Amino acid sequence: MTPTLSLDTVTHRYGDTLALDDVSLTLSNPGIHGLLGRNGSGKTTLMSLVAGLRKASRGAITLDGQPVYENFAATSQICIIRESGDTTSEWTETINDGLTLARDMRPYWDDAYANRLLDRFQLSKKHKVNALSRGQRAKFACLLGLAARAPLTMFDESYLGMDAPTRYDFYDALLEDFMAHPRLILVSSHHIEEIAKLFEEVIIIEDGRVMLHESADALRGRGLTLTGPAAAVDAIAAGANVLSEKTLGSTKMVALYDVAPDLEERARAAGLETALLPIQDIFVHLTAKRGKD
Amino acid sequence: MTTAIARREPIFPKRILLDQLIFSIMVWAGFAVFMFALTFIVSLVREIEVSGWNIGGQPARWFAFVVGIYIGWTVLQLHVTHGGTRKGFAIQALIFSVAYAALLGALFVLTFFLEAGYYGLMGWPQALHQPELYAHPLDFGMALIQWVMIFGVWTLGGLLIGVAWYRNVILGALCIPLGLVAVSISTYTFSGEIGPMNWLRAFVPPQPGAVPAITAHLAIIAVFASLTWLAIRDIPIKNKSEAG
Amino acid sequence: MFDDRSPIYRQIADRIKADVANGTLSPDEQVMSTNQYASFYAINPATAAKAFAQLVDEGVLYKRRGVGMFVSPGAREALVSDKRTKYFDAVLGPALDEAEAIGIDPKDIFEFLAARTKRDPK
Repeated sequence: MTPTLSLDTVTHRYGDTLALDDVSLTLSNPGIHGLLGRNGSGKTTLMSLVAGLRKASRGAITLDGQPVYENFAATSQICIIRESGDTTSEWTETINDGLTLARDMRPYWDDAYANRLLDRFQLSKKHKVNALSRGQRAKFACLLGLAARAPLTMFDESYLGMDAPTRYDFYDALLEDFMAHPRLILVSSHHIEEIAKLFEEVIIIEDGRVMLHESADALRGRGLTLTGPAAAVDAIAAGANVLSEKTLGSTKMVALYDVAPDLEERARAAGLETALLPIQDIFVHLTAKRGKD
Repeated sequence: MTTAIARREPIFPKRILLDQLIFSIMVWAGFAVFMFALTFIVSLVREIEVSGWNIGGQPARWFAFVVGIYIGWTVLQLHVTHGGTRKGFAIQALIFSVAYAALLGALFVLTFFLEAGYYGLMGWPQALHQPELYAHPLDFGMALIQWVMIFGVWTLGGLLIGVAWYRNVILGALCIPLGLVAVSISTYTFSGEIGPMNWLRAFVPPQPGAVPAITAHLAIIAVFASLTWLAIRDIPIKNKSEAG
Repeated sequence: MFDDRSPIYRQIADRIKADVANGTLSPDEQVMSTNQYASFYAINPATAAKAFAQLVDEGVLYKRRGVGMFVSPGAREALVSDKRTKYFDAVLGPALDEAEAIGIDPKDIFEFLAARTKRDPK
């Protein structure tokens, strides 16, 4: 059931602004994959192109070999939930109208599941969409994304505006539904530390380019922090790729990236404290060199 | 998930039609009752000599126009963000506009017959206040042709402006003069009145009538439909927040 | 639930091993599925599966197709004997280093040991 999404040398411009620069990427493993990037890095553009909401300036995007743009055989398999909630109308619609539309349009729509999610997210079919709070609207948008059960589902900052308990509720629902119906799920988020444990693969994009694409477990093993007496830390860290360093009196902490396989062992033997660098920190360090957006 | 899934986009706009059908009939019923009541109030101060619906019903075309804008602006985005294609939307929107114009035209003409009963009871004459394609409100065939064509042009005009505006504000604004020209021609072919755009006389047949009216309206509809398709063909569906 | 000292899958594997070694999980007992682990810890099922694959490789668990994962009959003995061989290097050695560093008299350690042995003759 899990389709193969493939981007081949995709470039996209808005006028003179280069939003995506020669991106090639293949995703074919079922999983909840993280698309990480700072604001303006090209995440939303990438997802919008994949969903056929925009036409790429150059390059090919295919789902199971089929071009996605203006091709119902492909687009009916894809669901994108963008932060702004543009899958629902604000004119006069009620939640029930939104559900009716999704039921008509979505080939894998699960109505019973949608109703269970309504209860879980405490939404009523009678609510008017334009009277919902931002958080409620985000919940409804995420509900549409989950119940659509599209083989390729993308959540682009979809849960902005949800409070923390609701976000965790969404993560639980996402994981449960993914396990019951494995498929390709791509999530972009600024709450990396909350959701990173769910990721199977991580893609980091920066300035419109794919900076990194690898399994989350492997990525977690790539960064290491060493803490201990400054001299000992310096001795072990010499020659390694140092992302950041801090000192407190004679104690020093360094964050290292892409370390030699035996470094951790040597550090422990030297009496240093070692810890893996969380994905959030790796992301921050790798993308921090750029100034403001 | 082993069930076979339909891979073909539905082309018949069932849901949009149903939504608008119910809503439009409700609005029409309310509007017709309001107009009949208004005619009664007017009758208290002056003699009723012409069909009130033929005067007061004229703005109904604006309703079709707004529905057209709604389809072009909102339904387009919903259709594509839910996995539909622009082409699929364009076909559905066109079928919708024609079917919707037929519905509104039928409701409009039906009102003349309801009015005839009402006027008969009150003893008022149901004459026309201005020249139309139909010589009398109860000239069913001609009245239906005229009003289906009016609603068709106005629904499609709204659709065009809705999608053009969504694509680009300037493009949307450019469609307004085009719409005004189309409306002037449309009115002329029924009544011989061309309004402020007198220069248009050079481009229209010397006499109004059924044949020029049908020809002109088919031409306007063809132009509107083509421009709508040009605007939709590769329209980007924007992110409302325009972030990232 | 997890610390940052090692990858999550290794921590899950270590936890299951500890349960096997201390008898919480008996031989031939079925362990929870990867999906149950994944929802319990709110982690990606692939990560949980990786832990299980490691345990199968090491012979701690075995797989019955279509049924699930079970504790290997000899796993407990193997784990315990492995711990035994590593005990002096991994646990007692560092503890004695620590004792030396803070100046504990070896005589006190012998006394401590003798007292414990008397209290618990096993």
